[in-house]
Amino acid sequence: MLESLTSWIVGAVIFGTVIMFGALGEILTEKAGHLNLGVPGLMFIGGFASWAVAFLYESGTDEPSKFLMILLPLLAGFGAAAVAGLLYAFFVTTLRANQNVTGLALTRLGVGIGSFGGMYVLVKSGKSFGKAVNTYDVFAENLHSMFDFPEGSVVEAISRMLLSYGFMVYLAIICAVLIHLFLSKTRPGLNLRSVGENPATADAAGVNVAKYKYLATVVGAGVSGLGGTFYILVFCNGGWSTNNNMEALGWLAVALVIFATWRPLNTIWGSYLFAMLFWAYAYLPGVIGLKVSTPVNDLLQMLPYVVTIVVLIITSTRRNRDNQAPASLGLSYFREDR
Amino acid sequence: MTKEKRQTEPFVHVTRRADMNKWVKLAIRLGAVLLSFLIILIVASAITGDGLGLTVKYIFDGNFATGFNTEEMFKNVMFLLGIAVALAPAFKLRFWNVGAQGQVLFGALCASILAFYIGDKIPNALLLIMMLIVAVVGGALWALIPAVFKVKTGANETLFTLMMNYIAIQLVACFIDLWKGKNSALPNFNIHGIDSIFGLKYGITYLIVPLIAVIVFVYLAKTKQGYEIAVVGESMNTAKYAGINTSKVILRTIAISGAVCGLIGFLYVGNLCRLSNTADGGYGFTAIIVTWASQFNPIAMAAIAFGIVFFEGGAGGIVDKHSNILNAYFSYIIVAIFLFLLIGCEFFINYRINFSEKVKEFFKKIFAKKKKTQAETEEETARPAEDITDDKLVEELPDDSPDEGVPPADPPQNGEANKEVE
Repeated sequence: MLESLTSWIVGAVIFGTVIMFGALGEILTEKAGHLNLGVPGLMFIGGFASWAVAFLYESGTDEPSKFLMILLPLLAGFGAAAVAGLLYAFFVTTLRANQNVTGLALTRLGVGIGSFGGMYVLVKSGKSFGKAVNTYDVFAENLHSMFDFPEGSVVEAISRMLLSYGFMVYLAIICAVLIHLFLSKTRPGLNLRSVGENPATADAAGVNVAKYKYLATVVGAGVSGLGGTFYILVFCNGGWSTNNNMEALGWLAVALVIFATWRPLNTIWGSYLFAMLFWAYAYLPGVIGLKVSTPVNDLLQMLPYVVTIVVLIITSTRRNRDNQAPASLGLSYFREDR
Repeated sequence: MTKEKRQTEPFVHVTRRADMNKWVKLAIRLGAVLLSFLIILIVASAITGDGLGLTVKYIFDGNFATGFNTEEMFKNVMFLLGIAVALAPAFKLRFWNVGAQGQVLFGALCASILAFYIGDKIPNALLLIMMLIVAVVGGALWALIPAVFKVKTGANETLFTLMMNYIAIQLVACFIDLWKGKNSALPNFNIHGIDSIFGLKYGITYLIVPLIAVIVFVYLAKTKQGYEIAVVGESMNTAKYAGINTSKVILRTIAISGAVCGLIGFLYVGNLCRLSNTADGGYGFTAIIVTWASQFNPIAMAAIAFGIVFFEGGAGGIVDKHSNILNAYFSYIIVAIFLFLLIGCEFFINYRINFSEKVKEFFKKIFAKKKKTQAETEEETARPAEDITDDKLVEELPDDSPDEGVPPADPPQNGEANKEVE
């Protein structure tokens, strides 16, 4: 039982990190008043770019450097998703296109580029098997494997739960803290929040609304893209496959933003909880020692979405001003409409 | 320093417009479609290495090469159009129903439950009618869940309906697993599906979807309830002052929206006699863009639905010829290009772009230089081009109407402009 509970938590932390990156990026974006429904697409693009760079780099050099194996995929994932975010920002800020529609089109584009690009890179490189093995090793390096605790002991379980992850798991937590500090403690963070709440007032106060909207959306997209990077390089062991559930993960990230009531720090535990719910069907039977049939499994997989809806309803009934979405979320801002 | 900064004028100044001739609007939209076709051709040709002409041929082959392709295309247009029509009342209300996928699936599931359990016990015609009814009611109820919370607590409908999609997907998966037992896939239901008419497998669908489209648009445009929807959509407060029961209007409209989605779900199950997680054909999300881009014009809606399906089929045609390097997701990219141009062109319809004087001068300068190189006369080489623009600038100056926000003290700015020209 301890064994399966530990596996559940370890699995949830890894899976949750994917959603956490996606949600953190989306929080930044939504704080600027942009509901970006393109998160699944951004994650696809980020994941694809990271994988392609990692794969091409390590299959192109005899002795890949560890530093570059970390730096290149991170830059590629962040950069590619940021460019896609720029496209979104241009459409909704400059062209004042509808945010929902643009976001959905971006999801479609991202899923297309990611799924198609993966196969294309494989074919062009003449390989049938696309695993970035060395990069995975670097990304999965952890402290836990350096200790030698006895199998099955409590210390071993705790060490696994806390230390058995690659650096990106901790990077996600650091990101959450940094974004929290940025939003709550700095002047630009305050300006950004004011843009999301009431752009007209922010504009009158001398805040460059368009600049904040662009920057928040582009950086947010990049952070979301890192979720894809982590998904492919760590969760999928560095291997590319077109048949993955990254799209559902992207929607989970959008859901997590609501669950976390737009607070970056809440995403830390929220994402792990979401991931535990997501994998409940696989681990829960083992933990409580029951055998569950497939149809019940299917129902268990609803849990994260049901919980999100419950949270959505609760936050809307409590009408607590601290737990609400940014007031101008989803609305385009046009100065002359005042 | 700060003084100088305040006087820089933005290069472009955008204003709202509402006076555009409808033919110009149409021309802009058609231009966007043509441009997207061109970009798609270039992208596809660059990836496959085919010539442009060959790519055009593949795109048409993908849609019309065989009777099967053509039928498949028209069926897809109908399903996409059907869902888009279903969303129209909700969007007119400014209720962002992104849960069409879930509503179609739940409607299909309700119909399937009937087909599975009592399919062989009652006459087929009666069964189909009952399936239709439960699918429509099911779709409406599924849509009503988020609508009720929207009305009661103000819960965000975009995210609510989005989540409802995944719950519906898992519900359908649950029933499929329950029914298929030891089989690897769910066998077809033991019923006689909707008959083909006019020799077309989806004959009934071709009749029902356009009929529903007409009914929905007459309802929206010509009835009192349709007018109420428009008022509530434009301004909740206006509607309240006018004595409209907004809650009732929202619930009624969303129920209609869900009911039409349920109908599409029934058409799927009724035609194919099976249930799958992709009963909405992946069009639940695409339809949102179709509805929005059509601006509630039924003909535009049909045209856009056709465009999307056409490009999808075309991408399929290209993939068929290059299955070694392309996969089915290629069509996502192609359709996304089309969608982005469709979304982007609305800007040029709703806004007027006014270039600042500086930019105009800049263009004039370039234009003048071009003229010069074209003419290439002795006289012109004797007289530098800068002089020409300078003269023009001086002529322009009296017309210079100072823009809002820029301090009226113009001289330094003009001086600066002159300096730049020199």
